Amino acid sequence: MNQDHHPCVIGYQTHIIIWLGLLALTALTIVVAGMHLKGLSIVVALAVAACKCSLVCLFFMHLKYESFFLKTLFLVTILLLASFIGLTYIDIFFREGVMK
Amino acid sequence: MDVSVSYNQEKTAYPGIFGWIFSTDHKRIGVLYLLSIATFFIVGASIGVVMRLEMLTPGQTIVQPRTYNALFTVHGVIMIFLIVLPGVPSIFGNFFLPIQLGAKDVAFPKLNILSWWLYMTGALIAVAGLFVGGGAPDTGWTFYAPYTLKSATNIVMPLFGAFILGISSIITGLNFITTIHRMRCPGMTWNKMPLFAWGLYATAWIQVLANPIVGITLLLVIFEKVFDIGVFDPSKGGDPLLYQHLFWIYSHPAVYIMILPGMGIISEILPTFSKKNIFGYKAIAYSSMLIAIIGSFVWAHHMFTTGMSDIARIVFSFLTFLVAIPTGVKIFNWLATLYGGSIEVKTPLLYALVFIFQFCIGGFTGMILGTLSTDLHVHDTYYVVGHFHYTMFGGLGFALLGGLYYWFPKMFGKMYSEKHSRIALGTLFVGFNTLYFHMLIMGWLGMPRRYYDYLGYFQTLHVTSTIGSWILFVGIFYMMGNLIHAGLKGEKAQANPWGGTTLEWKISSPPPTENFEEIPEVVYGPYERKGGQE
Amino acid sequence: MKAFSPIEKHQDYTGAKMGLWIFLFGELLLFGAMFILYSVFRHWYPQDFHNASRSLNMITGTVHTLVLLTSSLTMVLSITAIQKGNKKLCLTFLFLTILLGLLFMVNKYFEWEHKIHNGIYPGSEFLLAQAKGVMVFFSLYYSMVGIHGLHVIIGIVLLSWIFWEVLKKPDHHSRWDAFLHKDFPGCHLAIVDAQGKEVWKGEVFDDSVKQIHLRVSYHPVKERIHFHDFISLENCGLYWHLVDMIWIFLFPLYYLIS
Repeated sequence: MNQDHHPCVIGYQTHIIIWLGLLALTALTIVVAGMHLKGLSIVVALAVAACKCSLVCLFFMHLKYESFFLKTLFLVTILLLASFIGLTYIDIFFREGVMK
Repeated sequence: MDVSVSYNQEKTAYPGIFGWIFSTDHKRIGVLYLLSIATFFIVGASIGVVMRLEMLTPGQTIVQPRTYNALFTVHGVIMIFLIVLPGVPSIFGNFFLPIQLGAKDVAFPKLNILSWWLYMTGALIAVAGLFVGGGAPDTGWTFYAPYTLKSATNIVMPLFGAFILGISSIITGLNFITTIHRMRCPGMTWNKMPLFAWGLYATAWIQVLANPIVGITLLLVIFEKVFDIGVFDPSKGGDPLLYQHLFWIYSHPAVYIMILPGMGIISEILPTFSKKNIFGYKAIAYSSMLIAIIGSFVWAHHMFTTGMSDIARIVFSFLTFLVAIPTGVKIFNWLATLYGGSIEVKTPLLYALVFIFQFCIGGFTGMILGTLSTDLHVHDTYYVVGHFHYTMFGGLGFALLGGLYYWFPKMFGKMYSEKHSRIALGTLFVGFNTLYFHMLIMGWLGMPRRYYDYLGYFQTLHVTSTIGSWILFVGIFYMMGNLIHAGLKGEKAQANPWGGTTLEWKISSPPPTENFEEIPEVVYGPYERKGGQE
Repeated sequence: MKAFSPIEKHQDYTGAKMGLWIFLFGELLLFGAMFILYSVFRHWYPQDFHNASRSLNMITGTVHTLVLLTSSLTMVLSITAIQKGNKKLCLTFLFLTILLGLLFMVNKYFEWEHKIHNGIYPGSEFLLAQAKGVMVFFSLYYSMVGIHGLHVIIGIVLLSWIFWEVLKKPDHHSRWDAFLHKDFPGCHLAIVDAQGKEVWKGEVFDDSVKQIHLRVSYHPVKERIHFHDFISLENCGLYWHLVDMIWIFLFPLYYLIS
């Protein structure tokens, strides 16, 4: 566990490409928001945001090049947050006679 | 550096007390926490005694109703946020985690002293809040909205103090996780790590991942009071139940922050005094992780009577029962460790046994509270008060004291009087059970909590309980006096007075500044007694 | 040299990074709690949220997003630069990052100023007259964006500090301390070369010498810049990207739902 893995140096180009991708996704999310997709638009917006986050996380934060351990932990954290949301929602969805 | 100089004798860059409060030595930080926590404990316990005095007779005895509300709030805030939450990880975790892992310090020594400074800052802000503005808060330590939003007392400062204490706790947690991952000595695989370290590891994850949630919740309440936002205020469209959800998402796992390292201490004491290897090492180690995981998903059992949806109540009741499984695994493995051992009865072992007895009562009453139908009956009664005092004080408190008696010779290099320690323990035991067992009975009979008044029907039980509080209070001072006397005048302790097998017993008492002259290498499991280990 | 123990902390590159990641996980949950609140209230008041979002300017939001995304790029480029040993370029990119961060805050200031000027702030008469969902929307908007802004400010402070640190490096110091060593009297300090020949030597110690502090400064040349030395830069970068990630979610949830 103690071996220091040296980060491979990622070139300027890669980062600029990722940045362009992020800009493109931003444009996409704005265009979709203007299309009045009703319930679907929030899904698309969140999906695009998740894509952008993954790009930032994997490349800008170098998570792609990190150890298996850190990647797992990242997923565990997301999963934990998801379970908190899910368990809160079993109250919110089924609560009677409030907030209507 | 001469390695034989012990950590508390060593010359430092700063003179006197500054050599301690600016020290990055994990052992000195542990002692700092011990002293600060002991000080706050005396304050918290004294408030408890005053509350019991008020309950001596029906009607007003010594304090006004409003003062009584302030008393139980402040008692809760001090005991929870300042004592049991940081308690074991900050005192013994700091002091012994690096030594047990065979390391010279924690991973981030500077962050470590920062966490103590934050602890003191948070504590002082919270305590100062009692005397300025509207005075001591009267909301109960849970600060439930919407009453917290309406109360004219000074809520903002204690909340902000609690927020800072949370940051301190997160820093300690991430420090421990990194230390455990990166600084175990050669040969110490995960399955050769002492069980106390396992307890701390599980705790540290809860500290890091759950604490931010309550941090932001408290911050939002501050925003509600200061900037008039309204996420928890129903008159502004907010939802008070969401406050309770977010509050307990952290504060229920926080119960496991408190108890897991305490269980770790018990897992250290039992094999040492049974003179045999621990029974079911892996089961105990992994059940700590399991408690931490399941414990994160049971928070809403605090909210059965709040108007939460029925499905949520059933799900959370079910999940609550699951926690009992890994807890039971631990209890049975401890008992099996004692079985067939050549038991040497010394004070720390007695503390461990008292822990198991009292924690079982706390745990079983917890099951009764986790059952939906009975909870509706005893919710917000003295039954709940009795239950959590049995887990927090009877469990964690006695584990902490057991740890103190177990490691005292190592920490300060002095031996205490065995006779007086036993008398102190006996007093504590009798006082504790007289005080809290009657609360369980009263609660079952319907005595609601947080009332300064009661029906004459309950008086005998209340009086008995109050007498218990006096015995307990005497026991606390007897115990403290015993230890202070030992620290000043006690005999010099040997390096390994109990015949312990973990790494802290392989170095001198008190430990040298650098802990180890050379980083040790581990071949056997932490509690194995063979291969030349005495 | 056995009597000397280096004061220099052991440098654990992986450990330092792990510590920061763990902290970031905590931050994720901190914002996660607020996202829970957001989603619940949105579930209860979809129409009010929709209406309230109209008063937020999409163009401003887009500018925020572009500024933060670009600052993330310059941040990561500055790390690449230092890994390639180009300190000057690293500092340039770092400076740009700080500038973009400040730009974000200025932009934010004008946005909020405009809103507050129009009477839209928590507790304002205008808002109290609105539907409950609108009130909650703005409560959440000000809290979440405010706390995000606080993180940006902390990030700017950290980056400015790190800018100074990188600028100072590679003037590197090591310190060794030795205390109370019984072998001191009769010895003297000396610097020896690889063959053991004394290059410099000091006076012989008497009993009065109880402690020795040795402080070494060295100035590594460009080739010796090592990524291990710049872990704090990388860690600040990670923090900055996290702040960016939070904004990536805040943007569509507040500005694009009308």
